[in-house]
Amino acid sequence: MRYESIGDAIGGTPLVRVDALIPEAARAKGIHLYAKVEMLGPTGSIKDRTAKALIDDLVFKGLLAPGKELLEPTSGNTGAALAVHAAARGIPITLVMPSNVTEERRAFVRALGATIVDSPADQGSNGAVLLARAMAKADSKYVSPDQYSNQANPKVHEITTAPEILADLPEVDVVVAGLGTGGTATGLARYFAREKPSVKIWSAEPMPGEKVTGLRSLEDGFTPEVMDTELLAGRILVNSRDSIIGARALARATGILAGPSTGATLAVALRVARDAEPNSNIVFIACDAGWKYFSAGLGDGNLDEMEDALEGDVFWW
Amino acid sequence: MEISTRWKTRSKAMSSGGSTQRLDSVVGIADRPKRVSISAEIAIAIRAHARGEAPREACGIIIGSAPAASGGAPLRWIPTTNVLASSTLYEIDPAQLLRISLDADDAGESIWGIVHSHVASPAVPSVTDTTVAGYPDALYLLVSLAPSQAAPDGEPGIRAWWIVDQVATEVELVVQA
Repeated sequence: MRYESIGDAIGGTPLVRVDALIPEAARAKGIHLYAKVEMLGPTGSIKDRTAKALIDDLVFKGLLAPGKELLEPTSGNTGAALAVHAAARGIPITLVMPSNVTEERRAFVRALGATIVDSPADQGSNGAVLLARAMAKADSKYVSPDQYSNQANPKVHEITTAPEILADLPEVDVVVAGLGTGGTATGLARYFAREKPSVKIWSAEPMPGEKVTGLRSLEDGFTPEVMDTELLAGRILVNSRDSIIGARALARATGILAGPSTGATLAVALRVARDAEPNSNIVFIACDAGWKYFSAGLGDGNLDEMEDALEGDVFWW
Repeated sequence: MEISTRWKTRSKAMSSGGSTQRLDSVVGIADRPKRVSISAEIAIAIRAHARGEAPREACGIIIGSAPAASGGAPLRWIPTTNVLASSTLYEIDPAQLLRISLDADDAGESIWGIVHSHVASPAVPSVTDTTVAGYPDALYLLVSLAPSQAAPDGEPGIRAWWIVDQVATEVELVVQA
């Protein structure tokens, strides 16, 4: 395949059958499970789609004229993806991240030419958001993509992720996505409500107070503007431990090495599978790659210690 | 829209404080049961699984009404696959572990105990065992096939341990008649 830009290589991710993980009872009912393998993009996460869509939207609106600079508070996948797509388009970018973010993550975005501004470690992600807002207020050169409120976020899933699923699996009945900004689930729900209303969209959410990197609980009191929960069939809460076990199970049983947020999504998919109608086809979004979490012990570390690592206030969305 | 609260409920039930309380910080060693018991039926099944898997280490899970550390009662034994298929190491098949964990959540139950066998050494956690133990609320049961470690009735000896922060503390185990 030949492309004009790395941004053009986004999407078109594989849909892989992973029936090995389905409980016997569900398998006997003819239920099939598929992973939409999003970690095969340039930065190994579904945020490649989001970042490109956000930048495209700002360019389309004329907000990224020469002299302007992208500014985003993020320590994780969105920052990495924005750095890639900003580099591909020659747009300067500054990422605000807590000073305790690992050197691996800093090196990744620095290598792509991003400028890093440290926010206080003890204030976590919220501190990064506050500092970025203050910087944007003080200097008009900064333009924030703001994935939490920009409708380009759910839109990209409505016009790419969802149609890809339906094209690859017209007999799809259920799609399960993790709830981070809510962009994926909302975009999927809007598309299927229109094109195949019988498809149910479920979301995976961390338990209130527990942290599954990349996901957030609405019960913790923050609902992103892009999120439209009314379109969802339901939300299922997952604890950190099951998210880690889920990621390990997926890797061992299928060879798909994904992160804890994918593990959480898998856990919800299995739960939905148990109660699903016979012959249902269930898709879950494998949203980011597992190699990013080796230092936290995803591969074979102590479960309890990895839970501690996830409890750190650094997120990957 | 449906919001499943079952797992949330379990978390709260196991939490002594606010919603950010970690599950494993609930019960200190001093506050745990000083004596635990399992049914003869479970003990027989554990021993049979250990013998059947030898010379590989065997493993499995005991589901309970709550974690052993919280005083839960053991309800049933689930043998699992040791994916390492080793005579000195074990790891419960993650896919089985995930299903068991989800089933327990849905049923309002918990992982009460985690069991594995030692083929030729005493029923004492090895350094590896304490390092990989990731369920501080669960009871770790070890069954030894070494003849010198047999119980008074000649059956393979079973001993029980709390493993918290990589430190193993033995707890008295009674096999009910």
